[in-house]
Amino acid sequence: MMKKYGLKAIMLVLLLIVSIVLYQAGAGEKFGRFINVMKDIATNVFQGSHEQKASISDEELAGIDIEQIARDLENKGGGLWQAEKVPSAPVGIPRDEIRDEELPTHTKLLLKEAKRIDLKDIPAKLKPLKKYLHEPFKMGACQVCHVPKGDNPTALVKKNVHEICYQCHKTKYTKAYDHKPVKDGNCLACHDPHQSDIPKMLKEDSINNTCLKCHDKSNGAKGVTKFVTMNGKFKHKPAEKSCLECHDAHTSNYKSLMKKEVGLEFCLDCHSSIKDRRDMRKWINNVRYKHGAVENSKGKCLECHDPHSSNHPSILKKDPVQVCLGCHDKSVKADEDGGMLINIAQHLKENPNWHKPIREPNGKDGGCNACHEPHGSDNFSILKKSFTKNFYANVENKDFFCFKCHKESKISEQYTTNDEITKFRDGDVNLHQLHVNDRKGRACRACHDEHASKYKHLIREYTDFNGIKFPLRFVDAPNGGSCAPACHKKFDYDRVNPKGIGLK
Amino acid sequence: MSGMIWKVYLTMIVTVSGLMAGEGMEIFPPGDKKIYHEGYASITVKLNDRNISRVEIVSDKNERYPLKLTKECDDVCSKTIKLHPGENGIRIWGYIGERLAYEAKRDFYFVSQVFKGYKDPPAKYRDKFFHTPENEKLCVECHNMSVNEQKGIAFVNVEDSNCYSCHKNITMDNYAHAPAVNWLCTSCHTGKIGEKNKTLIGQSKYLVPEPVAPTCFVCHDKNKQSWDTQKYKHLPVDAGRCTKCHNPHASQNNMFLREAPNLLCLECHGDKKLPPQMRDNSKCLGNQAESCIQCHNPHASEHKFFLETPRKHNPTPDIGIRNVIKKQ
Repeated sequence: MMKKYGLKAIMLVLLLIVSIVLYQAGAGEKFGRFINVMKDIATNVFQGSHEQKASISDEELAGIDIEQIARDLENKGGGLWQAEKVPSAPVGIPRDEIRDEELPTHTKLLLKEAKRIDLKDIPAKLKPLKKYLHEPFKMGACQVCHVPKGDNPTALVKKNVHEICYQCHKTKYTKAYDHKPVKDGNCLACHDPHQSDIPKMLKEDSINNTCLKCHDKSNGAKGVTKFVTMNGKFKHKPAEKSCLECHDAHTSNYKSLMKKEVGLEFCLDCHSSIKDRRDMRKWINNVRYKHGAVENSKGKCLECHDPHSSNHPSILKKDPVQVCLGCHDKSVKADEDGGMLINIAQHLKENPNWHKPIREPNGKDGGCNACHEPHGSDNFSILKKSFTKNFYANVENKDFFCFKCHKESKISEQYTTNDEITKFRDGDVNLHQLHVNDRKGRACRACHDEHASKYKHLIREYTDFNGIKFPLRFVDAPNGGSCAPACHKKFDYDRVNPKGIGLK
Repeated sequence: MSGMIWKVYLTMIVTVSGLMAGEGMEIFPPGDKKIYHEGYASITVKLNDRNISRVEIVSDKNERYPLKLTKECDDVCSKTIKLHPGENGIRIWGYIGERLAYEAKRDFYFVSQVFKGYKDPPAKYRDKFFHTPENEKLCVECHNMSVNEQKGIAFVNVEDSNCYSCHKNITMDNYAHAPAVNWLCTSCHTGKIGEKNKTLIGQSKYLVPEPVAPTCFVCHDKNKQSWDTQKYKHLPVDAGRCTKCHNPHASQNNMFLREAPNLLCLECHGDKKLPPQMRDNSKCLGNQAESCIQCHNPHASEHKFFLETPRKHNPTPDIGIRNVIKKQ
């Protein structure tokens, strides 16, 4: 037993010593190099990776049957390889619509006849080498593009750069809209013909920066008409990730080089299945009252939202009041009942005292969306919560959303001297309670304008009663005021020297 | 002797004719023998004799009202006086210094909607309307006679209404109806006629159709709905004669009632008047002015006799009128 194993062990040790000696002598180097080259060619040719690890000499190329290797690799691990090859679809876009732009695979054998330059001989300005190398460049096949003219190989084989590119990159751009540089044959506007630090041989350090080089609002290039900003406080995640999530860099059948027709569905494809966010498709389809901006507008989502970035929450184009005034600066027809909505811009212009969410659109609970639900709602006027259209409101149903911000004690406390609760008092009699807490309780909006007013405390100029506008005739006084609406004759109230309202 | 008699006779004629208005003092229309439906009459006098120093209205009850020169004109003075139901004999006296120089007489009839005795004026009285083109010409020099009310929007300052200066008295009572006190006159005074005042067609541009109920129901539509569903309706309600009990402009009584509730009811239902001792002893009829409507609904009811609830006999005067009226 001992003898048998001992012999094998001795043989192994001997083999090891022989390999080390051979390696030292140079024979192993060639063997290891051959394996490296094989591996390299395999990855280069089949995976389309331009990563450079070794250069290939003529002798080495001559001894390799690349086609055989390709067949072997395909038979062996083809399934796995193909799965990797399928481009990952940007979110929301079906896979089959992604155009798989065919990268030319240069069989190096075909390049055998070209005069190649060793990497060490390439011009100094192209050094140090970057991570991704253009294949002809990597192979030192400068002649593919350049005319050899002594020491200056910068002259091109064809006058137009794009003609050279299209020799190998045989994709033709024939869709409805072309990117301007594509149309102009200006491939080099974005791509570097030699090398790059990022895939796709882009000139800049990222896809987005390549695009923003021309399309950024702040340093917009000459002749460019479409600008975006990605510097906003709030960024659209796909845009932040890559412009190519939604756009095609070269050509498209849809405006703005979109990968799919822009519309409600385009946005909803993502915004119906984002974790921890509301299912927008369900919401928009199910609400009773729809918002015209979502339903009938030209731009749909883009009427209000910037698809790239902005300084306003929800990536709104403007602050959450101004964006609404974009349409509501005129009397528009309401979708819910066909009535005409007020020109709120004019209303705000004419009435200097504004409700806080309008006054401070960027504050907490600011903007029109403090009360309105811009994507539609089950409540009239697309309000977030129930309210009443009526002058009178039943006291039991106090579930008005005014009390989301305002304290309910404002109307429920019969007597109080606390200015925090209400200043609408005659002495300690809470006049809010007196007006509201009754079978014929008046709704908040009977006296208050929820948007803006000429008067303090958002007191209305007119209250609508049975279709007639009656002035409230509110007069402010240091410790109180007076009203002479249609409901009663002129009554004064005074917090310090009560006039006796509500005592009879 | 006979000369003396003649002298006295002549003096009398001169005196009487001297006291006749006409050349010295002109009383503006609508004029004599007019029927009034509101308890106010405006007397406007034009002073042709500029020596007149003072004008006074004397009622048949000898109440005296001095006339003041109007703000707008220096030769016209005006006064609104309160009428009492029935015939009102009014004298207008013009003085030069302390001497009574001119006199004019006017007989008016204030038709009461409530009191039976004053519902039918004698034949000599007529419905007369001031707002005719000819009459308006008399005032147009100083007054804007047009309607300056914006449809559906009340005046912020009611004095801006062109109607206000002449008609303000009808809204001065404690309880004023919102359209009236906000001077939205033409919301009711449309000039249209109804079944009951057909004969007045074309006489004034400010007529109100009678029966008036459709006009009222423009706003008070909820009342109509609730009464229509009831089994029994009070006759005036059914006939649409709201203004029989309610004054559409203003009143001293709650709910713009023309009189205190009981007074209104008993004017027609006099047989229900209780003898004093019964009234005093009855717990349920404690509050006399409102006792009827503690149990009866004056408009409509599901139950006989317009009872609020059948055979309700749980009188608690504290929750009397308000509770009942609220349910209207």
